[in-house]
Amino acid sequence: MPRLFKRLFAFLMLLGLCLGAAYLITGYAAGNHRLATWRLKHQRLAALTGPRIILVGGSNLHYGMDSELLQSTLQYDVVNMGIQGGLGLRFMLAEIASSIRSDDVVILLAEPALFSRIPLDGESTLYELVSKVPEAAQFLTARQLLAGYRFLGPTISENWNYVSLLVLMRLYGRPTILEETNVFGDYEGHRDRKSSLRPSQAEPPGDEMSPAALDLIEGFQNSVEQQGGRFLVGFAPLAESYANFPALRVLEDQVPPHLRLGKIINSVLPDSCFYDTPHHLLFEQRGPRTRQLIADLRAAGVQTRPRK
Amino acid sequence: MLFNSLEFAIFFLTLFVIYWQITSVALRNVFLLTASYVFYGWWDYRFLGLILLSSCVDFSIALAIERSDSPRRRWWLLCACLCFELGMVGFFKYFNFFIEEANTLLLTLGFAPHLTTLQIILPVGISFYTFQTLSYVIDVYRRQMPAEYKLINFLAYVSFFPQLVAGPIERATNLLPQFRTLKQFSEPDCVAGLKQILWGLFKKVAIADRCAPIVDRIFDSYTEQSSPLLAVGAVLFAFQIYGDFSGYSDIAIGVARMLGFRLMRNFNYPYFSRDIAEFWRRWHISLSTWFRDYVYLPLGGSRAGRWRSLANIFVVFLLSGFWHGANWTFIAWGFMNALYFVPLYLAGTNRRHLDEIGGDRWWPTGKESLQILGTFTLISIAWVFFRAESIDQAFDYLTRIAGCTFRVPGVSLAGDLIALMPLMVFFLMIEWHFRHQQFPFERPGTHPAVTWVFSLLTGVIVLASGHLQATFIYFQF
Repeated sequence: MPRLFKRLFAFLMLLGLCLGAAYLITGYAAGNHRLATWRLKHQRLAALTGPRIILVGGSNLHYGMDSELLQSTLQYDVVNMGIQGGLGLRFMLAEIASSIRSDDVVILLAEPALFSRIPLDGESTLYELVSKVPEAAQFLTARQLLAGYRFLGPTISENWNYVSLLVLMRLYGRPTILEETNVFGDYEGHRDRKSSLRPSQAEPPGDEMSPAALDLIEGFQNSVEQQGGRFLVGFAPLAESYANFPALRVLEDQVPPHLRLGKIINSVLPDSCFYDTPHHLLFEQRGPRTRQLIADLRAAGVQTRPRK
Repeated sequence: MLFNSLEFAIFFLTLFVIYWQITSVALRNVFLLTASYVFYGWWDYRFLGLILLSSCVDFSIALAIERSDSPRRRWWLLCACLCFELGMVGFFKYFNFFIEEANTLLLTLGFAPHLTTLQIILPVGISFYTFQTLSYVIDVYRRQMPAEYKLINFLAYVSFFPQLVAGPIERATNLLPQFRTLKQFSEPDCVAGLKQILWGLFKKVAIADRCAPIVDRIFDSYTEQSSPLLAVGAVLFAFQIYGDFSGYSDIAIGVARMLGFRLMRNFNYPYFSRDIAEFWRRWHISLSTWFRDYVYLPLGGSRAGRWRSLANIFVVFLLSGFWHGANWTFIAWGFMNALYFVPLYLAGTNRRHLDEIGGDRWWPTGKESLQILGTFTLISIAWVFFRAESIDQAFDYLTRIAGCTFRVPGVSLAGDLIALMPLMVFFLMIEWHFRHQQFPFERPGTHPAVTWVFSLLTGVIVLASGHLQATFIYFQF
């Protein structure tokens, strides 16, 4: 039996190596995936020299922000870091923490689920991102790296499916999400598209902030302020039929008042304003949302900078 | 506890190590029995009482049959056993079906029926272990084997966990004697078992579980799909059910082999069959041979005159369909297979293809390819009845395939199909290449490096698909 176990062990080790290789190879082949916008966003984050507004959050930002309008109005350089909520709050904050400079304004515009239902350490999306953009791994904690073994298989499967989809998209002549993301990091591929969101029939979830999320936010705030920046927390737009109003008010109250940006009630909009999910605004709704954000920022003391 | 779950991996690894440390047959059987009951109780511990009761009744009746010299008494004991076992299956599996059908019939005849159905949970694997114990009692009655005198051996045989919930339906003549001997650890057997488990997992998670969501999407919205896509849905269901069921059998056989047991073969590359008769010699072999030995032959088989033989064929196929569940769709599926089989029987060609297909050639000949394709088409049509919610839906589905409507499929669905295609090609090539072996990678003389590469590739595909972790279709039967 020991010999059998030795052979089995050798096989499993080799299998692990093959799995790791498949993880990276399929990730490379799926390099056109929407998660690869991460690289674009980081290139912009590093390239901007002036005081910046750094938008952090999930896909609500990717689909629903007009960064160009924000930049031209407030005269800050804007970079939209939002990709997907599944990356988890810890990673979203960690990936910008070391890039913050004096006078930067960091705004977390988070889907309520980011504070409770989506684990702080992220979901499978995080490991899908690392397979496509391996340099993103530098922002993972040791615990996150260790937890990654569970997602190797599913990520290979997802990458494989995406590569197949990509073949078809090329055949059908359709651009990818990466190709339809502008220099600010905003998605523009839903221009002229209609809403496909179905009203929710289910009881909306109640998302309360977990103590760990609050600790994370407060720790990040200290870090930003030490570097001379400012940190604010706002809320992602949410379709009305998916909103649990009492729970949202509780969530709003849990955000420290000095960090809070705008009122959560203003983020709840009719279902008809949304594209395909209860957080993805239609293209034409990006402008009004951005103007609301500008008004909230002014109310929070962020004023227009002198024109360059 | 699913075979394709981490909990089973931990369960089996622990069991494997302890099992081979035990040096007494009796203790090993007690250990296996305990493990099997833990495995079965994992789903619903309440059904443990049922399997224990069923086993004890059969054990006692078989002993009584053996000890009796009176043919009349032996016959009545057998009848009592059949009534108990079939009554149990009938209650748990078919009670509501018969009540509903009786209500419909009475309503049609102008009565106002008040027969109420019951909320009955179907015990997992009841059809499998009932048939297994029935074959034991019948074999003892026929004096084809002696009755088992040790209760623990018998309980361990009935509840042997690898094949408890979805077969193969083992004959007592094959499996029961294996519980009486002290098996020696054999590394080659363990390695062969592991390879078969790996291939079973591949069929389950990489083929069946990947086909399943596509099939579900097509069948759930079949009125909106084009004809080619409906045909693809039917073909993929054929692969789904094959991958699912034969994958389970492979894992069961592999697991048993690692513990020193030899289970019967349940599938023999059925989709490479050249006609329906050959298909039924290769598909779910343990069930089809069960029906042959305990229903078809006792009814007179093919020696009872032409019309009687035809009736026997229909009885066997209809029973086979009904065995799968209380739904007319299963009966229709059995009926269609009987219809496919009858012409071969009447022409006397039902035993024409007893040789191995393809000989030693790399590819099938043109004629063989056409025969395989034709048989597969017929089988896929019958599977539509098996998969559909109702017979009307199955007819509607098939009519729409024949309607020749064309539409470009959505990107998402087409993408899933393209993602599946390389796996299907790999699967078919491997199955064809190793068609003379019980399972792939078993071919003698294959260079170890080739085996390692294939095993690693299969392992990567399995692990990359393992998160799907769906249950097995045949658990519901």
